[in-house]
Amino acid sequence: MKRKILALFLTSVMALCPLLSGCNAIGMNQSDKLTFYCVGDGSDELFEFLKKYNKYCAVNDCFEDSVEFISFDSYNEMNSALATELMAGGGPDILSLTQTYPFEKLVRNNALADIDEIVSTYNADVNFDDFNEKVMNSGVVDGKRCILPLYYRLNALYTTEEKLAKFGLDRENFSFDTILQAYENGSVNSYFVNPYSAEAFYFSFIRRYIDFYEGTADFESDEFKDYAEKFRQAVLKGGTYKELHSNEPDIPENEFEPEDDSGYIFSANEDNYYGGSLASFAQDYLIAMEYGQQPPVLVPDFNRKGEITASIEVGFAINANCKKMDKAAKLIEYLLSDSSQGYFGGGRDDSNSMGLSIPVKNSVYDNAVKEALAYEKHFWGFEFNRDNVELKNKALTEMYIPMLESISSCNLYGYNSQLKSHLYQNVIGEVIVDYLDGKITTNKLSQRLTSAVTIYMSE
Amino acid sequence: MKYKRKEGFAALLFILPSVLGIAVFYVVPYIICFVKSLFIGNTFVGLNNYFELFTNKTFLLALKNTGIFTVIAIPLLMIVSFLIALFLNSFKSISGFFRSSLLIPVVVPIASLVSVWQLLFDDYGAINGLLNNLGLDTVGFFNSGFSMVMIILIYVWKYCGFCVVLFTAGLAGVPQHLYESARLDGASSFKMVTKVTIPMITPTTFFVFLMEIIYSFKIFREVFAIFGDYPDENVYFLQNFINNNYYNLNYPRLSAASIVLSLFIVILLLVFYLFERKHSFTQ
Repeated sequence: MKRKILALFLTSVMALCPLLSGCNAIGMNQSDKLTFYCVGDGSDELFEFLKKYNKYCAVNDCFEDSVEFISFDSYNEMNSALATELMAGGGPDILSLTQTYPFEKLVRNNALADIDEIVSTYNADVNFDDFNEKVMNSGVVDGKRCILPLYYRLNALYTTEEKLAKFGLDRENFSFDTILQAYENGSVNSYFVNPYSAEAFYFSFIRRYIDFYEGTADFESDEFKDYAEKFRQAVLKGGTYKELHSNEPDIPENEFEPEDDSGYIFSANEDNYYGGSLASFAQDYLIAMEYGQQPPVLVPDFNRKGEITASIEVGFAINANCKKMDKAAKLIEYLLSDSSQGYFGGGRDDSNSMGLSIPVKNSVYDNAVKEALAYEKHFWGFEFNRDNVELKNKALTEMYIPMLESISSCNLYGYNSQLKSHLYQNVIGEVIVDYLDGKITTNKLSQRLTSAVTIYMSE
Repeated sequence: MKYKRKEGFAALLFILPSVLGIAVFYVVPYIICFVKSLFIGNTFVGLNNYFELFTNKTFLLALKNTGIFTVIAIPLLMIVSFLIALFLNSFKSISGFFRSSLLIPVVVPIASLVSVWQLLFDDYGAINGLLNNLGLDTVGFFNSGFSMVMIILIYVWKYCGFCVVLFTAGLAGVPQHLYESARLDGASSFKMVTKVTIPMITPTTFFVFLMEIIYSFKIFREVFAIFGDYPDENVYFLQNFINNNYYNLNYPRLSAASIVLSLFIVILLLVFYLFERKHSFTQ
């Protein structure tokens, strides 16, 4: 009898195990609302947009359409939960492009829903002809719209005319070779004052030799090996990778002060205070001028073909496992509406709004351009000097806007956020750091990058 | 009769927890894995994932490397450990010490093991230092065609001791009178090994083979510790493919590859099992 009781007890324990473990439906996404995973207080840019959408839902009496935030303590924890849940056919409904998921792979793995299909099935009021085609196409793979860009940034480096002249550079004839020449002449300490920007610049250079959509990588060429070594020297200022990161960056209070003579040329997009939106560019430009500082000059961070490119600032995708596609359609409609695009992209009549970045919707973009050109009064009330306003408009119409309108393509990741990408974090970051650290030769770098990227793209 | 039925019922109850455990943690996930391999997202695609898998060059590379490793490393380890066991069997007075020494690599933590091998064979390691002093070029032991050789060496070195212990136990079970008879019939030492020892230890060999198959899949830990997620193409194994597809969130492909890998092991074991049934002389 005792043995029977013991056996029954053991059996019941075993039977209870799966109920108490993660292998059941209790922990999975069973919310009636759309779900979004975030870390801590949701320091993701999309989080702000979704919070605004929730407010919109509350005001318009459609609370059931709002988004539920599921918070995690760390990205590792969030990614583990996501991996397990996706495997079980669940996971969050909304995936933000700033989260460290392998989006290059997800678009090919059918893990992301076709946004065109959602829009047409649920009759969302979205016409993709009204949007910037070059930017929107970055989310389309094999004819399927997997990622929806909301805002983008120009891939450009900031500097001043004075600095360019000092290092013998010319904005019109700017290229890899000319900035290498400037370093080799000995007048440049480093391209960037911020070590993370320097690292991002190096990764951005490596990234040029990978074509995800074609599935090719070209790290074996003499051109790559030559540049790899020269840029390594320039990025490290002739020192080591450890030294680069061990020293606190000596960033001047204002990077564009005329008396600044720190021997660096550029500032990356995210480093400086020149905001991403047209209106904030206009405002920051005018403030700099008012204080007698050098106005910024943008030089394109060209791709390998010498073309001007952009990168997605905020974008998202819908999980293919999502069971609430009708609600996803409403969210898409809202985020691409004039009011939402204008709220975060500038171009709305509220003068307190500088916006976050460049909107993908053409009509909102046009409004943002008009607003930036008309900008001449600080929101605190004081009017800017008329000459400076004209200079600002000249910078916009002759430099910034032409560059924005001549972009040839758009990358999935921004300049600094690419260091958080899956490709950098899990595939080639370690190899690049080993190379910057001097642990491997240029030939080894070329060999290891070729091996890792080729495998990553095809596995 | 009634007592026997009662006893049978109690036995079933005792087996039930294990059966449930195996069912919940192995059989059910395996079935789920197979079902997942037939879908892409929520769409049933039949065997498409399998067809795609066999046209995927990275999977074929992983399959080729795993095949090469299995075909070379397992027989090599079996031969080396069998020879050492035979040698130790002939010198019983010192065999205890050597058996214990050979077991040390099995219990050494992976991190220490990898550090030692890197200290020796890294581009800036001791062996390359020696080669450079002799005026020779640095050899990329871990980043060239040598990578596979290094992994095979690590595998043989790590698991040799354990296999030696198993073979020694098998050798101890061979009846001495068989050797005496063979000796009286004028058999040479080589003939005694091939005609008496090897057939008589077939069950042990089968067990060693089984254990080596298991260990050959455990070698992924060492590969991962040395090379990370994306190793040199020569040492990119099926486990790398499966592991990376987990992180790339490609579950249909991961599931299909897992099923193929399990079939690969089952077929390998089945072949050896049939071979053992046919050639075992222990009966």
